[in-house]
Amino acid sequence: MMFIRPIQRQDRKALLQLAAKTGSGFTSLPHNESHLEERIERMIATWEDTNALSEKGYLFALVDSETQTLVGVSGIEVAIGLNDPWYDFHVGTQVHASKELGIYRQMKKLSLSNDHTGNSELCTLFLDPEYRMDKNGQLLSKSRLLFMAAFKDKFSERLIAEMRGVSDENGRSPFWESLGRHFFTLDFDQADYLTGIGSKSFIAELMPKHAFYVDFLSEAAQKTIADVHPNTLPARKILESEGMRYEGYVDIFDAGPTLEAYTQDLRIVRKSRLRQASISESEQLGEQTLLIGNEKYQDFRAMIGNPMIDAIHIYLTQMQADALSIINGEQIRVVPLFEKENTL
Amino acid sequence: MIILRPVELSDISNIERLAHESGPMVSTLPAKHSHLLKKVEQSIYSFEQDVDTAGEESYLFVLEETLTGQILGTGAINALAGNREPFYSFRNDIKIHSSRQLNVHSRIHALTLNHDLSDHSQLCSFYIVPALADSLSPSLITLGRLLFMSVFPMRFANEWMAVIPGIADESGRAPFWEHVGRKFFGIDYNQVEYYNGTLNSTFISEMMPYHPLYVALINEEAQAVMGLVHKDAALQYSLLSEQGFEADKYVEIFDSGPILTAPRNALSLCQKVQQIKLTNITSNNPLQTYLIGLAEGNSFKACLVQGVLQGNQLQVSQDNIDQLNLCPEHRVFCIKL
Repeated sequence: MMFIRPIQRQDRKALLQLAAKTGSGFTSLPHNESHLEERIERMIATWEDTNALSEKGYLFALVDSETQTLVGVSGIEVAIGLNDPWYDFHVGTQVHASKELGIYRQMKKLSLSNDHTGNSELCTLFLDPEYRMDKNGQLLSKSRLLFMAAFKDKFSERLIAEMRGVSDENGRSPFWESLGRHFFTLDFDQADYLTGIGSKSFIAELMPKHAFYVDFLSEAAQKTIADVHPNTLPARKILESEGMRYEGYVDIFDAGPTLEAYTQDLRIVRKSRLRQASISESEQLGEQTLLIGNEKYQDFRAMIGNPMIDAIHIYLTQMQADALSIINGEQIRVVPLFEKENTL
Repeated sequence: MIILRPVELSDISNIERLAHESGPMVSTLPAKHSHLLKKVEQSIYSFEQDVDTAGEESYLFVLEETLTGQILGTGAINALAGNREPFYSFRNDIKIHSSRQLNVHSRIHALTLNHDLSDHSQLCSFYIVPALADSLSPSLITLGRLLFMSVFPMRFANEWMAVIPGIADESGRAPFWEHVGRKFFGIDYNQVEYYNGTLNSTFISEMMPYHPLYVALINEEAQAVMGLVHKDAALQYSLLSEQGFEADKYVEIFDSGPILTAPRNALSLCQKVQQIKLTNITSNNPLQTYLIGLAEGNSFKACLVQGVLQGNQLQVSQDNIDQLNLCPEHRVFCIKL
């Protein structure tokens, strides 16, 4: 059985092994032990509420209950850009028109922005390739939204997620080649790595400060604006089905889209409901696939299942209750895993 | 004798013919009758005015073969490049992008649309018939105008400039335009140069980018021609450069030809010009070529003569003196070529 729990200190080795499996374009889980250790400490300090808002962030582990191994992680930053500036490009429109000449032209332009400063961010989603099945990706991604639904006050009213942009198998990003390279003599991989270990704002300081016209980029680069890497398409679909959408902001390095939503508009925040756990020996199956989480801040758990549910109760097996770290009668937050399923 | 003199109304058809010949490269001499007529009238009016500070005046000179009355070239000066409307150019700015943490310090070039040069006096509308391109006549048109400006300094600003045509081929394709201007206008280079010569510059502010254009993002073919001179304008460029004009950080907005600028006092001509008297030749010293300018009231003409300069006397042939129709009111200035 697969379940979600907060990251712990003992996960350090497993996390490092997992990070070794990420490739280019995955900025927030660099294969760097001291960096990962710091990350874990920062997450724990958040749950213990001993750090500043600018430092707060959550990292969740996907665990296989049979082997107790960590096979995936996903995270939320609470408020981005409060220490180092948070940069992205706003994709805007500029109209050049002259009545006298009878010319009217719309031009796309990119301008450096800090518009997402203070927003919460979904980040660091990575699943061991061997476990990319059985809705594990859905659980990793959506359990974060369930956590936010349970603890809305901990987050900003706006949520974003940066999607990995287009790069080829050699780590070459057409957007970087056409833009970033001119301002900065680094390979995309290097720039990406520096970003992952927290040097993104340094790099941004070197990027164009003035708005510039998309027409001046190579055609290949123009095509990749707001486009995701093929491997990231499923992740994008998941978040879009939950109510997040592209609103005209892209990453400054690879032009991957930033998905956005008001937290209160997220499907899981709007549609999740509380039920009382009723634990029994025999499994009672319901009709829907559900995302199920407990209401414990420090010991949050989430999983996917098809238990029977009624207006008051959710019927769980002892194994499920153990994975969710609850006892009979405790409050459980529940929502259909997919948008298209019946509402509760 | 070939002289440079202020344009007259009767020159209009001749100038129109030259404007047709000059083509789009000389955008300040568009082949449009109403426009040329206005330019001529404006010049006549400007010469008539007593001016104590540079303003809306525009002076148009023609090169005339006095024997035949043929008009062989033109050259104009706008007292202010941007008097009623801004004069636009691209300024090649350097932005320093630096990060101590990353040990990076790079200089990024960006072209910024500006009207810094609006307060400069502008040499423009230069054209010489091809047959005289290799003669001294181009020097007469260009240095003659500088002489006029130095003799009447109150009519002009202290900073002078000239736009030199940039790279374009015979079919009117300018690489800089193709990769920059066309993105904003969607029309051909010849067309925009025609608009530029005939329309108010408002369309430039409407159509051209107001964000700086990063040079590194401009197509390499266009980058390669920035600040380069059209081969037909090489002589103009070298004449002005020899006088002390410099191509600094401004380029023309359509073809990125260089814009030469100079403070008046830095120009060799302005430093060396002297007022002289013309006398009959007596010296046996070898003859040298002099540019002379004759000022009478608000009028001015210039020509090249062979002579010998001794003190403040320039000795020239009696023929020359006769041709110049000298009168006692004439102030005469000269400079050795």
